[in-house]
Amino acid sequence: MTTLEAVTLAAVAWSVGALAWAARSAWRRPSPRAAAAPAGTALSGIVYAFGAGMSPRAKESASHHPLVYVAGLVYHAGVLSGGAALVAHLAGAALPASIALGLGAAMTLGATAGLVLLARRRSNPLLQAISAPDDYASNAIVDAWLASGALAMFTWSVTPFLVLTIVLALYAPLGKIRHCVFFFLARGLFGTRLGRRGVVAHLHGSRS
Amino acid sequence: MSTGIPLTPAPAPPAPDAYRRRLASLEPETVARARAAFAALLTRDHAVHLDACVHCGLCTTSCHYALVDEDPRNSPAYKVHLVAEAFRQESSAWARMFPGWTGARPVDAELIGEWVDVLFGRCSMCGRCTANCVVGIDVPALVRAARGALAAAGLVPPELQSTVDAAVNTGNNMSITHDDWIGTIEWLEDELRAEVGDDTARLPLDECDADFLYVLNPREPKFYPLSIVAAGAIFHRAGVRWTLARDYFDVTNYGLFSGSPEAAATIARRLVDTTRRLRAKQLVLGECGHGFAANRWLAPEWLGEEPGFEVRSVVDVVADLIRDGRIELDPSRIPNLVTLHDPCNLVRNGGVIAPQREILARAVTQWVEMAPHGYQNYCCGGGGGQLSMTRFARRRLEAGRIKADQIRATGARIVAAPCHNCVDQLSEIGKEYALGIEVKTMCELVADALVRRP
Ligand code: SF4
Ligand code: SF4
Repeated sequence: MTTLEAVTLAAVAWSVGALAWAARSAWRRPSPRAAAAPAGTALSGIVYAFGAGMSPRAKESASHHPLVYVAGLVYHAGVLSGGAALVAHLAGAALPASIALGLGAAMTLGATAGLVLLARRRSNPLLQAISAPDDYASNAIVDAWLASGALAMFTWSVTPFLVLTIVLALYAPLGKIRHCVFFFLARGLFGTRLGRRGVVAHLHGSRS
Repeated sequence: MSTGIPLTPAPAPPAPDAYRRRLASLEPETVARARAAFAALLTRDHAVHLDACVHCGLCTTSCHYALVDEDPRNSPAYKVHLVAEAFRQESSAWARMFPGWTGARPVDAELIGEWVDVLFGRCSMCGRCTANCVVGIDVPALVRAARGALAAAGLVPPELQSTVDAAVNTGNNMSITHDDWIGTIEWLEDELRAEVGDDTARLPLDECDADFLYVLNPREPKFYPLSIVAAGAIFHRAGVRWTLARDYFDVTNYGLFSGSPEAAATIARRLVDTTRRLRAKQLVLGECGHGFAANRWLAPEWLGEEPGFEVRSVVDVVADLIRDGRIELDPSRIPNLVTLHDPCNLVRNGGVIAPQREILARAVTQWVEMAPHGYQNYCCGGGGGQLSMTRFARRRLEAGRIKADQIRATGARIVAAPCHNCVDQLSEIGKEYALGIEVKTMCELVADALVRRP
């Protein structure tokens, strides 16, 4: 293992630990006990929240904004591909050329989608009003990381990818990228409420 | 017998201008109180949701305020943003160190002014944004936390605060005195007897061991007494054992909207204690959306205990009575086309979605859904305390245009609304947008359709 790889691993470890700490801190805040007799199960709501509730038909944030929705999907598919490429590299696994090319393509598309989302944030008056420099920086860091990952897949030059992994891993717990953990917790809470209140059983056909 | 209701009227709210002047020159202690209350009110759910929001703005097109006015402050995303700024300041040393970079902001006089304008004045806490958010961020809960901080500092808009104070001080939000309440019920009992043609029909008060205690919106004895007669006629025909309470009869809980958990708990406690005192098997909530969410779902959280009896909506009870054949309906008595409004706190946030549809299927000749409806319904615009906050009335009526357009598209002449607050807002937007509609509660429609006995 090279020094750069060791530092990368340490940065990733910091990131995982700090994100876990942030989640734990939020989770340890007081939470009133849901003492009302449930009208349905929390599980049914959680299954909905991570299943049918993720479909574009289930929420207007997707159905009213198809291009942004697709850009978001492509962006996050790129991030997953980048993660897979990083794990493979640090594990010393030699990727078959076809898989490397596939990951590289996904990261290229992801970086492009990220730039589209960044441009949207720059140009939309509402997003300008609600964005801090952290919002732009978080996006830009991920875009650069994806681009460096794609470069690594296409040229086998991993140094920029590892350097940007260190930057990304160090920064992730400090700003908006924290949502990579909090998304799942929030979605679970959303589903739990829908399930316990018996709303889930009635979610079909409400748009007709 | 002591009723528990003080006979003194609620204190008059401060003049609106005094409130505005106070906001313009807040004392440091008041700001400090709001700041401390905000930190104390933040729960696990708030923290998780605030860190999960990705500031994408995609919820904007799901909010009726934002749909009628593109001002960024109307977007749910902006509302979350205003709370998130203060949350970062409160929760993260890193954010406090680099506030310009992270978007952290202390609760100060300027932010408080924005909270009042945006979180009180541009949100009916309907939760439609939550239903359509990428993540499922609980925007109404975040708005309530910030409102609660302002409540702790005495900065709730006075018209809303006076509604809460009336409920806390007099036992109901319209300061109806005990004598007026009892007198109204006695008078309405005569009306009921005439209506059902039976001298034994009753509006029972304080009867122990009934099947249920029925609580209602104080607007009913004050402005819509025939609503009480309608419920009484249904229960009489069905032969159920029910009771009203002599003291606490108010289903509403405006503590939910002022954000004060203390006020909300005080108000909720009374219905729990009254149900226990009368040994009623169930607490049945009259047609009130937020009253349902407050008493069915949130009261046990505020009180930290399970009620020990079932809490149901009257809509659910009436649907059961129809299904069980305990009342007979003649839909031909209501020949006009009816549409159904879904109160957000009963439906999307409450889970009572099917019974009102079962009722309409049996009670009226023809009815049609709005588009969208059910979980995806649009708020009428009257929730979140908006009906009380007269200073924001113009915005409320403008935001009601979305609902007005929905109603007009159905072609219905009658709008069924299982919530008295919604009835008021729908009646107002009916006039504002010249819809030519009549707005009725479910009980009123069912009472109209009851088969008359010779
Ligand atoms: S509340 Fe939801 S849809 Fe709105 S900005 Fe936040 S994550 Fe996006
Ligand atoms: S809760 Fe309703 S009114 Fe408030 S921001 Fe969300 S959609 Fe708009």
